[in-house]
Amino acid sequence: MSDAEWLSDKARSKVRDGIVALEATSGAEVVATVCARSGHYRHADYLVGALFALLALLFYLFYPEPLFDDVAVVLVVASFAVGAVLCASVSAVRRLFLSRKLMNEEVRKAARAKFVEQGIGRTTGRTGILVYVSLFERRVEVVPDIGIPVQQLGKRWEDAVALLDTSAKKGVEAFLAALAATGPMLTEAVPRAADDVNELPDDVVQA
Amino acid sequence: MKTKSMRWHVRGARLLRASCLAVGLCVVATDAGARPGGGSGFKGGSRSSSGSSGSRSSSGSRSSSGSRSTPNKGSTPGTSTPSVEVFSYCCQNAVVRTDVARVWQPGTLGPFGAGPPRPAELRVAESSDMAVGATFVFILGFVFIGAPVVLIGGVVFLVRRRRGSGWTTVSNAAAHGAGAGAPAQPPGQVRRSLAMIRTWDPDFSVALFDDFAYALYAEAHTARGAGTLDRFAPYLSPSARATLAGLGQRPVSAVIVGAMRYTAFDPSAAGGAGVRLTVEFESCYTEATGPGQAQSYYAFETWQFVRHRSARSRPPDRVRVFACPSCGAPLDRVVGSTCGYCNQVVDQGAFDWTVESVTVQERSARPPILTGTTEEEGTSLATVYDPGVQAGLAALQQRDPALGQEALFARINLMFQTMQTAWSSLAWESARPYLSDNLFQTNAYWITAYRAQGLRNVTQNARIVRLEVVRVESDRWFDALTVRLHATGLDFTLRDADGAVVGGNRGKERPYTEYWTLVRGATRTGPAQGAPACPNCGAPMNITMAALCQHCGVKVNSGEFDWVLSRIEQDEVYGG
Repeated sequence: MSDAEWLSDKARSKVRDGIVALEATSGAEVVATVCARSGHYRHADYLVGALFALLALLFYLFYPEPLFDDVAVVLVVASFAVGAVLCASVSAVRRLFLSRKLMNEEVRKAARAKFVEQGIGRTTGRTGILVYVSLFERRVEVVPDIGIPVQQLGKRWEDAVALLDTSAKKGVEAFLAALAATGPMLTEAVPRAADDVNELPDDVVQA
Repeated sequence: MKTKSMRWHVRGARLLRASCLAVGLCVVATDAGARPGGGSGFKGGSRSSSGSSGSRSSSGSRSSSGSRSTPNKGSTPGTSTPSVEVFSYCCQNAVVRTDVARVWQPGTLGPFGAGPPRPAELRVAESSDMAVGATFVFILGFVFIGAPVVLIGGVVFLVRRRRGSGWTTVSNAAAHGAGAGAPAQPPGQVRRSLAMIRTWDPDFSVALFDDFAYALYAEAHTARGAGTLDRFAPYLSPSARATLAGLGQRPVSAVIVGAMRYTAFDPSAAGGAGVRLTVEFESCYTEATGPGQAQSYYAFETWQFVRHRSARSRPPDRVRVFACPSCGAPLDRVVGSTCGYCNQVVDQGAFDWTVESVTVQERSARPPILTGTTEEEGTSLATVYDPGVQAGLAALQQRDPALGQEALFARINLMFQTMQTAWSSLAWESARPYLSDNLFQTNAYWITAYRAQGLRNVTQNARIVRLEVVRVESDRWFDALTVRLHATGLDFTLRDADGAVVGGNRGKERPYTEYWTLVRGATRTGPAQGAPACPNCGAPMNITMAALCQHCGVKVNSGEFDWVLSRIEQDEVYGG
């Protein structure tokens, strides 16, 4: 999955169209939010930096030939910096040093924070749904309001959410397909009223 | 060929140096270089001059400051003359102790005794060229690997910044604006501003208007189902009737207003001749869809009430009576917009509130959601005090010196406990003496819904933790007192069939707060009654379906005799 693909204007337009299509038949107010990452994870950078520094130190200690003492500190510090920068720059490296549990927790917290910040819980029927895509963690978190009868939908809803979550790794097209798959059950659970008002506009704005 | 033990010796020395250097990053090294003998660390004192103390190295001991290519391990005792080094050390006040500066030579006693032996036995001096080469390669490798990494990191950073951190399909402003159904003004502010109506209508009471609006809402929907909306022409404009008629003509029953909010008030409507009040209703009602078939609907509507400034409010006993607003003749006598009895045009708001428009925001066929767990919101929010609460309380106590806080709080506690028991046991009727008709009906709907779904919401060990008086308001008919009630208790929902918990938590208490508004007749004085007895005759509480005392026949929940609960507002939406 490429972050650039998700952040492109084309992707924004496609997702917005997908939401409009979904809301055409359902009273649910779907909001999609895409974030580069949900946590700063700076500690992983420092960990990699520390490992690099340790490697440099071991090299200094165990290299069979004599080395200048003067450069030791510089090398160790520079190793730390290089490791930290490398980790911060390469998402794959950073993910290696982060637990899945921590990333899931960060995504969950960030999604709920967005739900509140964006006022999704302030729709009259409490039928807002936040579909939160976190690119770094490659996760999709779905936060439905209390007006969405999730418990009634049961396993079907869980499967749909799992499909959305998986789609985050596959790209925008897979995500759109997974989003569209929720349409029938949302239509069934929260049918669109004749006088339905689109309370959460589907404009795309920078987060 | 170095022996294994020698290698470890060198490694140990390097590790020690590295540790000292690392510490030196944080703490200014002051002593290492001053160590006599320059033994193991920084090859003598002069090198420590690098910053912390300019005086330390000023002795110029290492005149060959450029001779950094001759570290200890590179020196060659025996083959070259050891350089003469002057050692000095700094006191804590950074003054050079020149008196103890000594010239030291290997093998002689220094000022601090014998120095550690020079590591001549390591015989590593001959590898100085190799050291230069190795270090050079090491640095070069770093330049070739580290620099690109840092460079790439910078590029990645810039690219990411250009791309932005993400996007969303809704703006915060839109969500918080009118599009999200958010009120134009805080409800509390609108309620407060309604008090200005009393400047031209001293009989106006918000509590009575609540009753009127609730009743009109229920009557209008019932009339809509029966096709008799035109009878309500004095209270519903043609536009409002058309909107309601558009919902369909099917028998409507069980109209329950779940929530009513004042969202806007315009005291200068119609060019200053009238007032306009916007009210939001959340309600549920049942429509008969066929023989023996019914469908429940949830509705969210916005009604705009208008009234001339010259109109006067009705007394409490007539607030729920819908008749000619001018003369009180039955509605049957109203033809079109004119009362056949008094010949007044009665549908323009000249005599009473008229609904100018009705907007149906939402109408959906769905049952209420009773399962699941909703997180408690607003408990930690600061208490919203009315600025005039102290003055209002003082005025109330001056008018009624017997009104004691303890007795009042005891009555609130009685109401609270009775309501918890009634709610948990689905026997809501037992709470009726303490609740206004509107509040009773609103909650009765939920009790019915729980029964219908075979569920029971249980509140166990519920208790009031604290009470705060936040608002006191008086009008001609009622004194109204609002308290913030801090309570806690177990709150869970059981399925009657198998006793399974389908919502809430049976093992963890849930603290919450609510704003309760109690009303009592303005002419009534004396302490509140904290025991379950008729507030008029004192007989044990035994009431009819209409909340009439079976002993004296008065309506015990009218507020005329003692404080009754008129309104419950959640902390997260209470606006003062």
